Order: sequence, then structure tokens, then C-alpha cells
Amino acid sequence: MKKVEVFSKKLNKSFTVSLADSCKEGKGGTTYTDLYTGKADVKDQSLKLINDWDSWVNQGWSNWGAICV
Amino acid sequence: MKTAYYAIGLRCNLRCIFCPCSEEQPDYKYFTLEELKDTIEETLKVKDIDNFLLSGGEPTIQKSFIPIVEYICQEKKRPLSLLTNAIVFSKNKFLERFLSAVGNSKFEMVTAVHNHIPEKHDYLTQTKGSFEKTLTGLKNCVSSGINTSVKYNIVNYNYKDLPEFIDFVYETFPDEVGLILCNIDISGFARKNKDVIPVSFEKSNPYIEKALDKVIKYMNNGWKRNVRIFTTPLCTLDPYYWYFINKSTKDDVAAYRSPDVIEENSKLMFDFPSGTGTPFDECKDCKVIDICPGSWESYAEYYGTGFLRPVN
Ligand code: SF4
Repeated sequence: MKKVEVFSKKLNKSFTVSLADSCKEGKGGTTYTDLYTGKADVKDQSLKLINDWDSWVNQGWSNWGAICV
Repeated sequence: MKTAYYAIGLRCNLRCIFCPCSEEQPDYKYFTLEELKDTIEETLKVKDIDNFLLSGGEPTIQKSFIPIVEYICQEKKRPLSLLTNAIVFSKNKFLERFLSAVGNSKFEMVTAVHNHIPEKHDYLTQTKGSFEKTLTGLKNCVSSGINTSVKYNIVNYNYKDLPEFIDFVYETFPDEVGLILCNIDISGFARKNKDVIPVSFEKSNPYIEKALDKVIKYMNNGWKRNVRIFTTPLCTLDPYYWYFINKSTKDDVAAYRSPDVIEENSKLMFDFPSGTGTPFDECKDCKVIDICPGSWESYAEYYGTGFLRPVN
């Protein structure tokens, strides 16, 4: 899984984004949802970014799909 | 996900300022039902198609619309997506006929709402009263259990209204209705309306970020709406918001057909280039190229590539 360090002006800190191909690959760890709820301090953790949004066609809108938790 | 995309006819009941189909044409081109059936057969011989997508003009006002929906859903048993302004669905009888044509097949539709202020929506569609009709049609579809998504085309005329539009969507539609924020193709036609259409990422993205802050607030209050941003390069938004950026769809259009006055252009095409992506020199060494949707190539032609900030 490829990891990329990025800097967020909004958070005024760097964090690592993991680029995964599938939800299975990204299972566990910190998620964007954790980031948005402030549940996790993302400083030293990898954020799983799995944004293969199949669900825009016929997968059902209640399915967040893109991020694994 | 391999999609076959057919524009079934160019006539429309709106005259959107940024749509090339709005240009006055003496003879709006369309495909007959037989032509469309042949197109589907030819497509399936060459490609494994996961779903069909119908657009126009406005697909729902074409003669072949209901029968071709029936053909795709009942005979070919494939999922169907529809790009529609939803106006015809404001009539319950039409909606009933349509639903019986879809049957048990998987179906979803995407409808553009250009603003929450009716007059502003109507200005962009150049059609008085269109906001009310589209909204009625959309609400009818949602109540019938159709998977529906609202699309906001971000242009110079409406980008500042985006944060308020978010509240409108959350207040008007249930969670099941998705929201797509979309930058549009600055093609030759859109460039004719310079004051209204083109907007740079530099100008619009701060408003997208404000809008997404609202979405995040709603998420934290338990809302589960699917919100996605299309054709916005990762490097133009703070990484905090990358969750919402939809991955590239550049490989998805496996077959494409649209009627055209020039016969050659009306032919069925395979692996049709979407006109979006990351074909720029600056992107080559960017570490997020695999997941980045990039931008419209027409955007880079218009504004240059100075907006690109490769991640490395
Ligand atoms: S430089 Fe290119 S690949 Fe990298 S984020 Fe920007 S548009 Fe995407």
C-alpha cells in the first residue's frame, strides 16, 4: 500500500494518506470519519483513503463505501 | 465498472447556458428505437458492459425513451443510469409508465439543480418555472424509491452559493439522495458565456471547502448522505477534504454514441476519451496520480497548468 505524506493547512499539520485499492486492504486504522469527528489524533497515524466509489451507480446511497472502518 | 453511454436525442425542454445542445438547431438529431437496439447489440458484442447510461439533450422527452428503457432493463437485464432534468417525472402518469418499464432492474438517476434560489436556477436553464418543475419531479422520484442524486455544476455564476446550497439539500431531500459537486467542461460553447461559466479552482475551491465543512457537520450529526466531488484535482483542495473527491472515471466509458449532424461523429465509439484526467507533464511524478481524477483538459487549455501542485 502506497503511503504519501501530505500537509493540511486546515489542520496545520502533516499526516500520512494510505492509498489502497480495495476496502479490504484498508481495513483498520484511522479513517477520514475519525478525522472529521475529531475522535482520532491523526498526527502519527495513517489515514486510509480508499475512494473507489463504485456506489455512485446502483450500490445504494446509504453506503459510504469509500472509506473502510 | 464499464459503462455504455448513449445520448439518445439532442432535443431538450431546457436551454441551459452551458450546454451545447441549447444552440438553436433546425433539426434536432436523435436515434430511432431500432438504431438504439442495434447499437446495444453491437456494443455487447465488443464489450462487457456493466451498466448503461442514457442522456441527451433530455432523454426522457425522446420518442424512444420508454421502449429503450424497457429493452435495457427487461430484455438485457442491465442496470441503468439516467441523466435527466426530471421535469417529466413531475407528471405522475409518466412516472408510473417509466417505473413499469424499469421493473425490478437496478436504476439510478442524476439531476442537476443549479441553485437553491429558483430565479438563479431558472437563469442558468434559461427557462422560467424550471426550478419548481425539476424539484417536483425529483421529489416524486425520491418518494417512489428511485436512487436519486442531485448534481451541482460549479460555474462562475453560482460558486459562491454552494455553502447555502448544502443546507438546501439537507433540508429538502432525505439522506438517500446523493449529492455530486461537479466542475464542468469549458468547451468552446461554455467559453462563449465567459462571465457566467468558467471559474478557476482558485476562486471556487474556498467555497467548496466551506460547503464540505457544512457536510462534515451534518455527518457528525448522524446524516449519511453520499457527497462526492467530480473532476477536481487532489492538489487543488486541502488534503483534509480528499475523502470527498471521486476517483478518476477516465476508463469507465467503454462505449459511446451521440447523434450528430456530421454522420461520422454519430458512430458508435469504443473506449471514448472522457476529456478529463491527469495527462499533464506536472502530474507524471506526482505520488497521488493513481487516485487523482485530475481536471477537464479544457480547463488547462483555458487557464494553463499553473494550478497543478504535484504531491512529492
Ligand atoms: S499534480 Fe496532477 S496527479 Fe497530482 S494531484 Fe495535481 S492533478 Fe492530480
